Amino acid sequence: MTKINIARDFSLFPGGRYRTDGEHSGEEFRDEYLVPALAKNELVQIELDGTRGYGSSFLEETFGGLVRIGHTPEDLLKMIVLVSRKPALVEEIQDYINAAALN
Amino acid sequence: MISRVNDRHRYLSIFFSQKKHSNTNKKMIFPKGRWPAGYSVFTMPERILLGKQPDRDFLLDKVRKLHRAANDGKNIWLDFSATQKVYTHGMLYFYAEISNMQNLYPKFRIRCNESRNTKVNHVLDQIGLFALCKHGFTPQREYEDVVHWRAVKGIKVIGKAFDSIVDPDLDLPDLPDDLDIFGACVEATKNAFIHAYIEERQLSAVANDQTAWWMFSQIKDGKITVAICDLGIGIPGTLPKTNENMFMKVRKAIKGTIDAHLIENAILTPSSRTRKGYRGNGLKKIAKIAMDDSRASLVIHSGRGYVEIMKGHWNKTNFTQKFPGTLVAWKLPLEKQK
Repeated sequence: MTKINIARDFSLFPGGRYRTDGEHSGEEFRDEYLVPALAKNELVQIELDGTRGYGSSFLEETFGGLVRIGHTPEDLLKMIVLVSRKPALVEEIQDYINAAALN
Repeated sequence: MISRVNDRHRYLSIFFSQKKHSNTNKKMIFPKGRWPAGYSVFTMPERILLGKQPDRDFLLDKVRKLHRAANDGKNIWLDFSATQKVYTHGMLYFYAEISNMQNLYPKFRIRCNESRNTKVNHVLDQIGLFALCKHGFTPQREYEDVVHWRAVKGIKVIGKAFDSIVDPDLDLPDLPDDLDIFGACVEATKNAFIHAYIEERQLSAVANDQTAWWMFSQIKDGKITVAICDLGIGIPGTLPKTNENMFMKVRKAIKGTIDAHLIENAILTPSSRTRKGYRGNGLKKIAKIAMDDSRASLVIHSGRGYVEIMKGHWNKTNFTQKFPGTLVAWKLPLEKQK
């Protein structure tokens, strides 16, 4: 299992959607952390707590973006384990994954 | 003959400037008609306020005249002597406009004199307005609710700068966990950077490559207010025209403006001018804090529209004068709900 703690391994201040929006974007996190981790074909545990918070753009581009680059929602929901004290945050991410398949 | 001690001090003070300020602040009050040469003098209103008429109109008119003067190459003197009260939204907006003028017209000079109210002076100093006007100031006393005014500005999405607005050690632990003010600030600054300046606004150019947004925070009475302002074309200007439903079209034809309704609709029915279905959720994130928790409130000024969400209720107003930008402000409780 690959474990990623966003606050510790990426940034306390997750940014916007694209790299052009500024530092620590969803695009950057997805491409440099998630995609390589998923390529190993093992479970990826993502610890969400500990950052200052999350913009919706960051979350949608990170997780919804995985669908747009070819992953199916079913695969993602099986391969990614989201860890957080906030159930609403986990639900929000799951919604972005499911909605990305429809757009 | 000046025989009484009181009279002697009163007459002497006209001729000699005092290095320290008294409570009545005699130093920088100029007798009428005796302003420093080479400056156009603008008397600031008694209340610097955005949310109510006629103060809103006074402030917007003042800024319009300031821009005209700066564009004509005049140096500006801001007379704060009559200013008795400053409010977060009005002050943030005014500060943003002055800051932008400094970016646009680097050669022009802007100076000011102090208010007769020492608390107002403390605020003007704390937020950096005195520094923008190159006005030296040493507060005689510190006001508890003024020392917690903080200011920051930027171009792209807010990152580390958030910690200078909401102290991670003092304020953040006291905010309820589910109120994601950082996420809301990310969306608001992103909107300023990406959408606000797609066209030039009518009032003036904006040097958004130097500063695209300005942010204040203030702690008072157990609550923190976080406000962000951009000087762009406003939310109604960035929405796809397809957002106007039949009700809005009729209202627009009758009343001439539907900006508040457009803002409300943009929050409740997310859509993006990019027309990508997965985008456009930023406003909803911004509003979610107040929509989900009655202890939090939100105010949005944009164009002629004003939307307030407080204790679960929505209030909408369409003003006659256009606010030349977007200002979003949250008020959040600092004690965690038991």
